[in-house]
Amino acid sequence: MDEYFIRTEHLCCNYRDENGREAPALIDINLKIKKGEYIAVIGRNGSGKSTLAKLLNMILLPASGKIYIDGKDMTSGNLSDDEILDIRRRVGMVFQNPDNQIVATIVEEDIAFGPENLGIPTPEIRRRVDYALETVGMRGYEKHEPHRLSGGQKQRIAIAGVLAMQPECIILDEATAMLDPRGRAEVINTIELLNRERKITVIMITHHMNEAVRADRVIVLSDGRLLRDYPPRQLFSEPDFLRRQGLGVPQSVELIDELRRQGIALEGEPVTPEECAGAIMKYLKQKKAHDG
Amino acid sequence: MNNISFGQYYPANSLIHSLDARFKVICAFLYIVCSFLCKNILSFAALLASAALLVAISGIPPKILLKSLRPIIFILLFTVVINMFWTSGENLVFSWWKIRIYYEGIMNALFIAVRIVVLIVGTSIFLTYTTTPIALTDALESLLSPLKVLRAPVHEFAMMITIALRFIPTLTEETNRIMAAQKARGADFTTGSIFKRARALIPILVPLFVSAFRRADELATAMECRCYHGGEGRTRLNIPHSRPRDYVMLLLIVAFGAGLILINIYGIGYTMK
Ligand SMILES: Nc1ncnc2c1ncn2[C@@H]1O[C@H](COP(=O)(O)OP(=O)(O)OP(=O)(O)O)[C@@H](O)[C@H]1O
Ligand SMILES: [Mg+2]
Repeated sequence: MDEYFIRTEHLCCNYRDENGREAPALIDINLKIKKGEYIAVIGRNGSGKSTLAKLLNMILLPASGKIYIDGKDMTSGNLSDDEILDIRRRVGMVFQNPDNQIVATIVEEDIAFGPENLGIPTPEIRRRVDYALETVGMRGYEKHEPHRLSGGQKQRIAIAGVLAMQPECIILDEATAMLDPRGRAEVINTIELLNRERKITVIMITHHMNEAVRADRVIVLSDGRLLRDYPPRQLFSEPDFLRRQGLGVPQSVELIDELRRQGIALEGEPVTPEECAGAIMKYLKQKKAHDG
Repeated sequence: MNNISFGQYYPANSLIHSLDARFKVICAFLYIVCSFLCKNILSFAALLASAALLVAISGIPPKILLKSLRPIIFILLFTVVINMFWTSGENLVFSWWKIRIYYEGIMNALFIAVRIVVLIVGTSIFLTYTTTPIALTDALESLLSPLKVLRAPVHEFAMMITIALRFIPTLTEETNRIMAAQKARGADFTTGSIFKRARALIPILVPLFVSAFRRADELATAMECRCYHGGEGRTRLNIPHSRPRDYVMLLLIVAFGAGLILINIYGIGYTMK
């Protein structure tokens, strides 16, 4: 078996525009993602992030290039329907608008939708629904109507719907974009829990640098090309590149930059808010000890 | 905007609420048949009594039921008048100019009024008031599943209804939002001729349709991502279970129909043709 869960080689994808011409959406993408990794994908609007996501679970087919999922060639062209369903089960997707991905009028029915499609026996579906609700912290909402829930709760239901299929990888396509800060935190915490404790591979497409900073690796797409594939620390150490790409830097990185400019010498390369807080604390303690 | 109830479902814990939706669909159908079996004053009295009993068991306030009759008042009046004036018989009760009203006409009008009212009340008690639309859709899918042999798209049809129900609140909310946005731009939906008001709706319908198509597209992708591939090989989380009470209800209605037939045979008084 392959050491990488997802591997792409020279992946290209085209769309037909209004004039019937082929316009490239992704050009020569080479990616390697290990099982259990937490990847963030960033890039401005139209850079091809959603296209990449849809290629990875065979909603779209590439124009050329190869995709291997768990060592298996997805682009050989002779996959059976069952094999395609199996890929969609293993690579789940959560989309931006919670209202447009909830199928049923009752929470538990919606979570059961995936397993039902897979033909799982009824008692096992019940177990999975309970387990998925437990995992996203929504126990007790089984019989609720999704349209009465908050945005963050709806997205957690959508995640539970994917979880009930027992995926190995979850792709979130700007799943926090329509949420308020609290809903966003609910979703991020749920996802990090899944990544940490269930070893589920996470691919997080986002416009929020504060979310990207928490990933193991950040991938930057621009006009269909893969420009960077770095750990956050390395990526955010070139803020000028990011600004050129129309992307910001996380507030935490910005803060550290500003403090350094003011002549405050902080140790290490902190990027996440926690690390920054730690570095500032350490600085303050040292200063106090020094002064006092 | 959060309390749109689906259809007319009235949540309660009555015996009728607890019946299996598939049985309720059959019961409603048989009850309609019963109402057409009635021919004379005795059987119509029994029918009326059975409807009253159903109302009592269902625990639905009669006031709410009466509201459901409001839309059919016109049809009711219309059929009553037609029957009253156009039935000819032997016992003339009233005559003036060209209008002749016979005893038979009065009875026919009365019977038909009772039949229509019982029909509406009976079916809405069995179906809309005590059964959630989702349970109803599932029941119809299950009852119609034999038609799958004939390649009738039973599952697809049920799926369509489920999704339509699911999107009613979403699209209602969206309509309100668009209307508010257009009002803020000075649109006026409440004054002017009907024609003018209809025209004022265009700026609402166009964005609503655009958004509905976008939603449909996204939903289709999301369903595909969750391995949807039609009804084939699909299992269900909630499988309907029939219990003894379902069979008892069914039997009671069949017995009721048989009773009505007997009453017709030994009928007294005027018999409807
Ligand atoms: N169905 C389609 N038909 C034609 N062109 C498309 C289609 N979907 C996307 N494109 C084009 O492909 C390119 C990449 O689109 P994609 O949706 O992958 O971008 P994205 O990075 O997800 O953007 P966003 O941040 O707005 O979600 C864009 O130029 C877009 O116009
Ligand atoms: Mg996108």
